[in-house]
Amino acid sequence: MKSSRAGRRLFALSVVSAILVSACGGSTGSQSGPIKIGGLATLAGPFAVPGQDSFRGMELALDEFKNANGKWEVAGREIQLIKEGSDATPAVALEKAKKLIEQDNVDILIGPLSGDEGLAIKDYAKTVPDKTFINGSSAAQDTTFRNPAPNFFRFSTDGAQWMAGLGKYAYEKKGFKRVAVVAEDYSFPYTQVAGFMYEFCAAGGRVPKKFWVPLGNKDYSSVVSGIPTDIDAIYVALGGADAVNFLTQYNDAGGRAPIIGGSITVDQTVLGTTGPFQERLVGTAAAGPIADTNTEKPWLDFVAAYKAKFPDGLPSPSLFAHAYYIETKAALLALKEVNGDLSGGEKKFMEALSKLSFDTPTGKVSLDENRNAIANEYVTEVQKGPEGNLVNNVVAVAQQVDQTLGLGKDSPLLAQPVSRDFPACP
Amino acid sequence: MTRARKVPALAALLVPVALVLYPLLVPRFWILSIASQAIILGIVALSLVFMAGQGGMVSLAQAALAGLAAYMTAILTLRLGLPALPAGLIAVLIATLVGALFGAIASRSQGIYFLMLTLALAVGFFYLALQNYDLFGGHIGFAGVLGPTGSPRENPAAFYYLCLATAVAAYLSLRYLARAPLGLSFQGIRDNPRRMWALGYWVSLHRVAIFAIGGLVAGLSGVLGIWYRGSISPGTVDLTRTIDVLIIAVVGGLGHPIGAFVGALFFVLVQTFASSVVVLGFSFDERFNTLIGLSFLLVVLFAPDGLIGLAARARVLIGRRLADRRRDPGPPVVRPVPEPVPVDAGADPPSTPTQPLDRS
Repeated sequence: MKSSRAGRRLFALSVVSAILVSACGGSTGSQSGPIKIGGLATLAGPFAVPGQDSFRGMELALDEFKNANGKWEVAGREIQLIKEGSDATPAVALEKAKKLIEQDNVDILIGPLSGDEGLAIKDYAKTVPDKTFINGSSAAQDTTFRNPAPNFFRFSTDGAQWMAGLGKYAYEKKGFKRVAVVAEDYSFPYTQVAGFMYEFCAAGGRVPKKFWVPLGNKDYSSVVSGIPTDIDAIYVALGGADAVNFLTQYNDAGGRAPIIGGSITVDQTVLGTTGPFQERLVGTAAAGPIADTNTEKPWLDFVAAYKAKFPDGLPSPSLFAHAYYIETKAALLALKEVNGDLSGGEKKFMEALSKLSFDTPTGKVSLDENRNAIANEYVTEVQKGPEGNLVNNVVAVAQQVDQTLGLGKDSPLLAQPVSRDFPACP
Repeated sequence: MTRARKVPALAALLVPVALVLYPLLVPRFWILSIASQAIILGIVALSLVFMAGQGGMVSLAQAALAGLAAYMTAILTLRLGLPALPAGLIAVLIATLVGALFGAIASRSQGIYFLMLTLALAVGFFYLALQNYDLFGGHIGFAGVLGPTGSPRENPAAFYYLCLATAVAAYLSLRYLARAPLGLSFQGIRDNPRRMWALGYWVSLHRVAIFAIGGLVAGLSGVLGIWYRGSISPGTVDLTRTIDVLIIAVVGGLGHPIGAFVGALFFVLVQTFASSVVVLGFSFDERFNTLIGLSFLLVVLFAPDGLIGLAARARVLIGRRLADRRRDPGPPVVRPVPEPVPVDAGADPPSTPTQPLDRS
């Protein structure tokens, strides 16, 4: 009896190994066979839900290039999508990118999702000059602004660009002159705060104090008690649960200063939570690459297509679906233009990408000399919707914003990389 | 030599030859992302297997000690401009000393309390690396660190041999230690600390020494790791990576140091290829973590003593089957059943002859 039990165990283990070995088969790329696109998004860790939405965005773009048999195809070559999931840490993103490029032999890598990952992938791209790397939604500034990789393309805008129009709106329309900052302590919020401060400080505003909290911080008592009393508003660049925690604790402590939001601070996940601070959010200005209540036809068509294909997806496409959709569409349009020619280190394809300019659900997108996007950004304000819930209504559209937010590359506000202390206008 | 003994001897010869010839036969991805990564993870798991096996100390601080060595390598190389090899050696020394410090903190705890203390130390180090910008570079960490063999991408075989040599040296040293007097005293402390104390051994100091050696081996892994990646960030020492080391050690088998490397290879293969698996039309590309968890679960369920335990049992099974086949069954022998002796109810029971007692 004992030997057959051991035999069963051996069998179970060999089944596991056989399944894994069957997946190990590597393959070589070819110039006439299918085109392989690798998709990299976060499917584990804090951004798992946005990661899933990212792949939905990719599939929406691929669906616009179907052949008669319903398969994805460009210039007579079938397209294969190979997905890999990371967990928002640069080390894992790098390993998955290596697997896609070196083991699966993808021709084009589209990703990653998170800011820190993007910086790591950019460095990796420099060591693989004959493959094309297109961004996912990673929005750290330095991914393309400082030491860019010649084969890394970003058709989505960075976190600072997302803030375009907000600094000016806060100073001129809302009349805020002195603003304190509360934000998470990593590259994406640094970029967001910088984007807000570029316009706000240039207009004459002052930021006397900044509070940086670790991602996932629960206790904001030291922040709440340290906020100066002579400020007009607080710029809050926190996401999801962090935003809810801070707003609740600030409201409970009797804080009454108005809030200015980052791109993920007052999105639907936060506006949908209940709490006494909800009433105080009405009138909160924020900005980002998309707006839920955008009434332009291209956006409405995009939302309709998303809802039709993904009935169990989010109620409205997130900025992650939007970004990955645009990046994938750019790749496919460029492939069409070069007739699927990826030979010669993909040089023709990369050139077509850098010159590409096309219409997206949020307006025209083109690239600057660092291969970073120039696109439209939306300034919003929280208002009561028709059913009594809170929604972000568009109040201004910043047209064709470049990575310097119109300041020009030599502006002193752009002289150093964004960090906790830079830019500063105390 | 019997046939059963020839097999392990042949394996003992083939395995080193295969390991040395390996980089000449496979593409770069398999040299670096599979084999080198497996060796690096195997070394940190080895430190845990050593501490758990010889010292009875299951420590969750090994990933943190490896990460500390990686951070120190980066700081010494990038901020102080030291060349790669001296920076790496000093980093290993620092990891050893910090391991001794951890040992001093945790030496009087055992079992679950020891585990919790080491977990607290590991998580504390993670938050230090995440939030400290002056020394540790915060969430960004450090990038652009090269090892003595240069960029692994450009010299994959050289880097692989560096990892292999380090792993072999660590493995053989720890195996030698297990039979040396110091190693025997470690095992004595593992099995019966009170008796060892009564015999005059300074138990706490020995535990500090065990942690220091664990820190040394983990430090080796950390240095090789940063030379492999070229970068270090807090994500490499977070809770997930801390637990990964324990999973590797358990899946490989805590009974023998080679289990650490077997577990690491299994771990790397599963992590790399789980997303490519398609079973009955269902692709695991978005559910790869489910498959990873399932495979670990299956191994632990069906092989509680790890993969090497399974291999040992397989060897016994094959040996038994070979032995069965060799024995000639011959014609069936019918042995006559002895006739039962009728017992007379009234008779005296047969008496055993005894010596008359000498009553003189």
